[in-house]
Amino acid sequence: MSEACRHEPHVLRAANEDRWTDALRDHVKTCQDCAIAALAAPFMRRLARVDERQKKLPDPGVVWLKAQLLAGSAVDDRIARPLNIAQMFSYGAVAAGWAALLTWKWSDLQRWLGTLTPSGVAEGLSGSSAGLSGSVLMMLVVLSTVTVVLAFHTILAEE
Amino acid sequence: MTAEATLFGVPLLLDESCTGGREPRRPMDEARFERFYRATAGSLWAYLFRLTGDASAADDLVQKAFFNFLRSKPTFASDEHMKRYLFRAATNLAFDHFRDKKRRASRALDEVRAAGSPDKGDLRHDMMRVFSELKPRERALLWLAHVEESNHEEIGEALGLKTKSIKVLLFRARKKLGELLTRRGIGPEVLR
Repeated sequence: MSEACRHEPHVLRAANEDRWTDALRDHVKTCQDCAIAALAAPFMRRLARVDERQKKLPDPGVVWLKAQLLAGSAVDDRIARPLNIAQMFSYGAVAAGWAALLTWKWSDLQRWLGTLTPSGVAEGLSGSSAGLSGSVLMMLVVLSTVTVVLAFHTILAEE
Repeated sequence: MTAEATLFGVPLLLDESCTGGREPRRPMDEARFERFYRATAGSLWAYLFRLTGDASAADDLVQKAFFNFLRSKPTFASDEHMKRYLFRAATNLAFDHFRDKKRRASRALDEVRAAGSPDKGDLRHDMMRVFSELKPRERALLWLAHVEESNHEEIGEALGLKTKSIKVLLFRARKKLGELLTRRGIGPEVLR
């Protein structure tokens, strides 16, 4: 049986108030559940009376307000989540773009970087040395622009 | 009617059978919350303090329990239902607290025990020490049964246990408490 003994509330009351009737005393002698409950009851009643709280509980108005603010920030977080995901995706895309460009056109870029000396620039102006191809130059400009924009966005978003 | 909001997996929107179909459900407003908070916060704190043995943890958990409760936008017919669900939420938070910060929790209990050691004749400290020797679930069972005067169904609901098992678990917890009290010589005559 999973139900509590029907006498249990009376036994607990009797144990708490120390007011036993003969019938309850007899019942406790035969009911193990009630006997053990009667043993625990005075202790628990006494323990409940000991007030250990040293700090005052916060005002309900404060708890209400905090809960509203937390709910607001939870909404903000929910709204910002797709933006954060997009930002992470952009970081990945830009990094992948740079990696691809550097891997694919490393020798061209190395050669082009080598021309960035005063004599190289002069040669370039005279048209005697070959620069980067138009598509690579375009990719370089696009990637640099996106990187700068992303960096600014990250800084401003954090601020 | 289906449950719309949940708190730790517990549906907060009760159907007509739970509310008895008598009282209309009302969403929580500030005035109602204030009344409910004043009626339950003290007993919830005492419950959490006895469960954790740590006053600052009880402070935090009370606030967390109320925040989570409000965040779930409860609509209950009666304060009794709200209280039951709040205690369940608080119990789950307390058990999470034990799981996540096992070391901190045991240190807090050690502090409680240590606080009792200088004054060995102090009944209050002896009582706290005895209670802290029980397992958290045993403490919760005893507190809900004896102090909150919850029935087996309500205890089962609060602790996430089957109602059928409460009788046995409560019996064991009471028996263990009885043994600890006998060992320490704290009989009913001392407690009166």
